[in-house]
Amino acid sequence: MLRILVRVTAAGVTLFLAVIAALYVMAEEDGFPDGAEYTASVNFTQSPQSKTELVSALEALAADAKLRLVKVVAGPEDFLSTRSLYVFGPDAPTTPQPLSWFRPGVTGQLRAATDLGDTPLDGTFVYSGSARATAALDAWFKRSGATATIQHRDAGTIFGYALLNTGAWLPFLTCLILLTTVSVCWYALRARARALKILCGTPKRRILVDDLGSLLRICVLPVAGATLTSIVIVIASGRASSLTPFALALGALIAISLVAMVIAGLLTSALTWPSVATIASRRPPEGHFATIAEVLKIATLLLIALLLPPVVSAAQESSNFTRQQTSWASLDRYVSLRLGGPSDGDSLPAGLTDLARDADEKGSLAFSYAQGTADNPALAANGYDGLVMVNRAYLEAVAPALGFTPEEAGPLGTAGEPVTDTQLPVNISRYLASSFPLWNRAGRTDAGRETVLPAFRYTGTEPFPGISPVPGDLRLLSRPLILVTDSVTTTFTDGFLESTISSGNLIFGDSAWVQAYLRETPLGSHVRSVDRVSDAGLYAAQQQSMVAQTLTLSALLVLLALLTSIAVSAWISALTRSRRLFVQRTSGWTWPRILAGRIRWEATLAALVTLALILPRFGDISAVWALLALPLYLAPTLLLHRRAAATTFNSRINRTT
Amino acid sequence: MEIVASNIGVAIAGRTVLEDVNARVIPGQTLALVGPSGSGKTTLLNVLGLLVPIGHGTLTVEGQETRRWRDARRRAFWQHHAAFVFQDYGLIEEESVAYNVMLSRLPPFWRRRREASKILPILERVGLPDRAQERVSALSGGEKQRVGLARAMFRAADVIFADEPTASLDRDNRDLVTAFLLGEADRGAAVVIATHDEDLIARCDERLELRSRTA
Repeated sequence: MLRILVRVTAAGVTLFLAVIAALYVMAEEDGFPDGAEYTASVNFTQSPQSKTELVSALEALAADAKLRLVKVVAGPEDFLSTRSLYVFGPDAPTTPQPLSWFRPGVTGQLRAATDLGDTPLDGTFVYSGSARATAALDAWFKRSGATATIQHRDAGTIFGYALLNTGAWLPFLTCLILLTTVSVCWYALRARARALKILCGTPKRRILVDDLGSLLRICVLPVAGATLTSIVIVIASGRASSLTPFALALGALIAISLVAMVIAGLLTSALTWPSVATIASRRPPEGHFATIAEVLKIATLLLIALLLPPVVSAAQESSNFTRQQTSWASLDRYVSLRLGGPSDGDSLPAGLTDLARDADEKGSLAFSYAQGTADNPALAANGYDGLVMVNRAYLEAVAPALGFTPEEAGPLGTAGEPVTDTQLPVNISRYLASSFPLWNRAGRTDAGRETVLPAFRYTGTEPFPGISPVPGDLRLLSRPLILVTDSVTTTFTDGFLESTISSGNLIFGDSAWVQAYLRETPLGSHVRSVDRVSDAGLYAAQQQSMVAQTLTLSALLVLLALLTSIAVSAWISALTRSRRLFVQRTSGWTWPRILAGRIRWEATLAALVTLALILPRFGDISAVWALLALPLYLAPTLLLHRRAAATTFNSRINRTT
Repeated sequence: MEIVASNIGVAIAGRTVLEDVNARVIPGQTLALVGPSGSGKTTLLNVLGLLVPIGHGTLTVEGQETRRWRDARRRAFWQHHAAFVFQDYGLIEEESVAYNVMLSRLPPFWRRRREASKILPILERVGLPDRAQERVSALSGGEKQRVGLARAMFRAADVIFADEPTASLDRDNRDLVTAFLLGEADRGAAVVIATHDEDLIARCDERLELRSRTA
């Protein structure tokens, strides 16, 4: 029976480790796709060069320095589950080629950087090459005015990320504790044999080697079987290209676990070595181990009880990605302009306001200017998490994703309540009264603000997307105060319009029309690139979606680990009490009566764990979940104890035959 | 209580242990199950005690077919009608003598010491007076077997199943066990004994010889 338990646990733990190895490969792929050595988060806002010039320079650099340089892009076909790589230099494919990612459900293409189109150049680049080549790229980033945050590939960092950021460390730790528990159990049930060996004068070292060797021998087949199964699954699911990193990660995890098991075995052996007095006193040698096994189980339970809620809530939080994706996807036809850098001087090019007015007349000009609580502390004090100025075109673009229909009288439809100036918190009212005159096309006055820029409290359930004045910074706000203008070009001054075009807060819904306009007017020479607005938000949403998937998987793993831990504990309990079970059962005791002591102990443990869950969260809604933990823990626990006891009883009968 | 096994067969882990065996246990009678090691004596004892399910044939208790008996009914049989005496004593080592003796009708823990007085006459009969609160693990083999007998006496069961009850005991203890089993039959209990002890076999009313299946 114990042999079966050890084998099943070893196989189960190896499968857990295989999933953690898969998480590692996913984390590696998220951070360093294409086998890259470096990842860089690059921002070209301050670069004086146009996107075409930047792309050409990067192409040349990649060719000259023999650098494999790739831009990672979410979409554009399906922003949530498509991740494509755009290659610079001679390595670029002539036609798009399908990419296979390790993460399930994610597809993408390998394309040439010349296919980037409206995709902004800002974002994530990955690269690898000789030290000289990478140094050349770093130098080029500096020369071209780009700001780049570079990270070197490091197995330790990736492993740390895979374990810590994805919550996978919890099932990993549980696996280690499970193995230790099984190892303790193994020693417990060999205790009688060990006592006999001591009485026979077998050398201590021989006993230690025998015990350890037998434990490792019994684990070899199930570990090998589970490893092979996971490898077959990886190959069969079409991920053979990722087999090497997967196998290496799994091998490392198994090695760590085996070392932990050996240390646990040696420690257990040292702590429970029977004295001759103990043997002579006829005390059952298993007696030493019950406490250790129980302490380990409590440690597992406490660990899981205390750390599962944060993992689950992190998974829930990250699962907002679908809503984010929908919000940002509603803006995917809008583009912003990146204007010339500081070399053009402080003045903005002429003709910007004409472009805005023409676009506004066409109905393709949208405006969104968002401030968070960090920009305006008065907001948080009054229950708002942001202030967003928008025009109707913007609201019409995002309304379907947010589930409201703009109306003539109420631009936010059912998702907003008007807030009059007198209802506005004093601090916010004062802020608007001092700021609006600077933007007001009608003159330096606050008069009429309520008419041209009425305020609404956002009451929708979906987070409201806003564009911050920092390029590439998209925000989702839950309780913003929204100021709506009917016509952005007649409400605000030219200066305001120019600065908001430059900062990417005034955006254009017809990319082709904007590109044609720029070709035909002198303004074109001042525009460095025309970029899709939603890319940064969609890339962030995709990243969060991947983290959410991983966290959900981790939470699931933790629950499975908990179930395994309960099962192992039930079996250990039944095995170490098999004689008692047999005698009580043949005396006609019912299972509930036989297991009453265990049930009381488990119930106490569950109650304590529930308390541990509730206390720090007193008054929180999660207390309801914490209370549910009691029956959710007890139900499988009792079933597993009952099953383990009945099986042990039957096997004892058969052993006596 | 009459137990009848007709043409029963039992296989354990794919190995046939009993094939077409017939046995009848009658109140007031001692039945010895004899045969070489591996012939299935203990298995048959366990079958008659409803511990091991049969593969084929019929097994009746008081005329009722037991094959479809559910767990609760078998448990009730063990609780109200049967007592087991095992070669390895079948005791809970870490508990007291009193606990083991009163196991089938164990009072709540706060009344155990007081109620232990009820078993003192039984303990005196098996030669263990004043040992009620002692831990079983501290007893010798012979003393442990006496505790097992005391438990069977305390239960006053209708059927007693004894598996090698005199093995590895000294003469005094063997005599004590034999006297107990014959005494129980005299009281009206049905007694089934799996044994190699020729003296004990000779004093039983019936004997059922099992042959080794490997022979």
